[in-house]
Amino acid sequence: MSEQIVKIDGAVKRFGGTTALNGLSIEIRRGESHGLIGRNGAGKSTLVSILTGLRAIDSGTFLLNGSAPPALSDRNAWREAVACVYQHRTLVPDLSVAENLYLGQYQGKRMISWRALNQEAAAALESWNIPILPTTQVRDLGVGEAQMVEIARALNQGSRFVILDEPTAQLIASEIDQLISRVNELRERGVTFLFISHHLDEVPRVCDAVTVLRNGRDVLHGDAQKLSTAQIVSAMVGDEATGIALTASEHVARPALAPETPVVLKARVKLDACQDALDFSLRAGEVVGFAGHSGSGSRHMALALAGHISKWSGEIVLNGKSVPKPWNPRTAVERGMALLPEDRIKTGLVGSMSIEDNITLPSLKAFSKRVLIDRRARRKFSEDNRADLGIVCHSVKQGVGELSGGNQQKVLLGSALSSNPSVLVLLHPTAGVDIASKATILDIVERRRRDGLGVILVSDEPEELAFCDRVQVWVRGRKVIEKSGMSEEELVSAMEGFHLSPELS
Amino acid sequence: MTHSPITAGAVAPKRVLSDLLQPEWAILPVLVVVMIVGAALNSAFLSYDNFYGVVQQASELGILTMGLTVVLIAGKFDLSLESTFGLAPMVGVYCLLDAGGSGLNLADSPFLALVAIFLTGALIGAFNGILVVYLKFNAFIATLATLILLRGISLGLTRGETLSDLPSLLTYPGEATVLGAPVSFLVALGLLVILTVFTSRHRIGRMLYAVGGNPQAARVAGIPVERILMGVFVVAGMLAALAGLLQAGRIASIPSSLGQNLIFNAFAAAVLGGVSLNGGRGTIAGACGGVLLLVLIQDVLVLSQVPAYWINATTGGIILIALFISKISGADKAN
Repeated sequence: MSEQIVKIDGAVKRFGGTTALNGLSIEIRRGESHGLIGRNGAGKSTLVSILTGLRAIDSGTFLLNGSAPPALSDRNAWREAVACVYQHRTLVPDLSVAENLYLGQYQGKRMISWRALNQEAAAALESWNIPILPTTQVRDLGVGEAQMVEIARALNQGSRFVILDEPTAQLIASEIDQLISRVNELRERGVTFLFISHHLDEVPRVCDAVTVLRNGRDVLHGDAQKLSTAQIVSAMVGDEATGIALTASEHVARPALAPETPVVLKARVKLDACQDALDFSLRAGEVVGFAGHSGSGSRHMALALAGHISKWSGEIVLNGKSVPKPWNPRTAVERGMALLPEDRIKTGLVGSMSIEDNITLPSLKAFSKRVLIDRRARRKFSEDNRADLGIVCHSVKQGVGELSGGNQQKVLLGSALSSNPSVLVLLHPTAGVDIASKATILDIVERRRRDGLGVILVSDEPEELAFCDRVQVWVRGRKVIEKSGMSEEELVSAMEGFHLSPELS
Repeated sequence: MTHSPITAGAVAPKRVLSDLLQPEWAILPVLVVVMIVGAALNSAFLSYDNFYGVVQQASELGILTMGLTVVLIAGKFDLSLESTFGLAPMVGVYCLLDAGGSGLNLADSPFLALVAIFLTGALIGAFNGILVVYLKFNAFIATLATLILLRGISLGLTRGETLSDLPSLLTYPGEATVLGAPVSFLVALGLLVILTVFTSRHRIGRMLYAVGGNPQAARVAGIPVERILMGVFVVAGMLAALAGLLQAGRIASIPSSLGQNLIFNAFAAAVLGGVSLNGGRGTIAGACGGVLLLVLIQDVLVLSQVPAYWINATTGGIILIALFISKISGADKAN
């Protein structure tokens, strides 16, 4: 038995032109809980895919339990060595806990003995001190309980090394406490954990050691009990960004709005899922950021404003008029509220339709002359937009499915703007988009902003949030801070659940 | 921002070629081949009488298929259309006329019967729409249930008998001829034009494709998805009722089995014509091409004295071949 479960040295992994891992080294000792921290795109997911044997590194060394890792195709060997509990559930909801524990493994030649299966499952659950009945349907379990079943399944398959990928993102506070105490208990019994989290406050409660990744490289190793949050945050953010107030950077040096600038949106919204109510107003030409990771409430609030969540209480006043209930996407678009969804393929574009069709989808009524669509006006509008938005294509009749991600995003933005909204809600507008398109997309929004468009930008990327005049940060349904001129460090630590005021750090 | 003119020029002819590989155009050469084969096998194929019959049949199936196609484009489907095809004319006639000595004979007005026929189609469509759109039942199961239910009602109403002695107002569209062409054909042609213009140039027509192609995106764009889908079911029900009326007129009676198994031919024709069962793809014209092909092939088979019992089997084979072709030509992008 080797002292190190994982020993990676100088790992490099490239995907086409992008380098996901760039000389990463990490050591995970047997029996420790190891925290893995880094912002989106730092290389965490790539590292997980390598540790679970889904991908191989291009160069560098990787020792698993002190020897070369099994072949990628040998799934059984990997399953016995490493288990990963992902953010999304991998249990079958309509089967019992016992069946899920032995899924794919209880397929002997004999008939299944339910009694034996349930007894075995009960014994396994008891041995890991997980108080769940094996006959319960997984559907009826809470999020935290289902997670424990996933961990039990991993341990049952022989693995003593478990990766927890943002396990607390969807849990409420009491469930998080439970999970943390379970993880600590299991660690006492010799289970090794790699704990990936966006919430830095959890790290010292769970982890012995910490590795911080940035740009595909390990930038900080240390004792979780000794490192300060400020040290971790500055390692995540990097030296180059330290201390610079984001909103003072060049691309958002906007003049102050004139004092008589009208308020386009005023909202007091309370959602069941969030402890705090949203209470804010947006003036014409203003850009407000809703910052926060998934499960923080920032996205939910924005969706409620755009009419995509019907269960809320309170009041939304758009252009001086209180919005009607039910506040649905259709009424929202009619009243001048547009949404740029984050997943352009799944919820944004109609892949089977042309650029022209997509770009005019919310505004077809405006292009209708008497009965039919005025094709000439519509063609002119889409050609103008194509030039204006810089969409690279050979014709606006081309299907959107054939375009690159950046161009698709431009079409989607054009579509959202086609109804001439007074408020635009952007969800991660530049995610998965090439650098040139990123700049163009923010440019287009900036031009419309100057004409008086109010913008709400939902993101967890400091680069995107730098576009905002002020940012409110949400963590687990609570608004922790709202201000302008936050530094990248301040923003990142606020989203990770720590409010660092610059004077203290 | 555009590429050099050389690449742009090189792309253009390729697109024309790929356009021709779209299943709705791929059907044209096949139609020609079928006509040549038909003419070679039996000289009666090219006769006026044969074409007259083919066109009548194609019109009835065509109107039903157009209704189905509208539903398919919007991403749903409706199996019960064939029951509407049979039941709607029956309800109109049974309630309001003294047809064949049976019936409720409430008003004895052929005009009211005509209105009742379309109303029945619309109501059945609305019923299906409520089940599928608002109660969110699976379209397959829900419309299968209405298919069986409505078929049962037709049987129960007539006790398996055939309604005959229809007034001329009801039989006229199905049997009359204008300028040598059957009226039903002119009706179908008119609907083909109207629906083609509607789906390509009316805003609600474009919304159909958006709802079928990506309902979530349609919702984000502010399209009233539920209302559009309801409308689609109602229109399809009315078209099925019209198609049923035309067939009843042609055979001058309403058997309790009117329209039985016709939905499978309508599905076959739509698929042959390049309509995607996943929604968002296909045209009314393509579906009508599919109808023409299906009816012509069946006609050729009949004229070649293939036993009637084997004709259903060939329809199944044709659908499979069409699926293979759309897979190979890459038109089936969903998978």
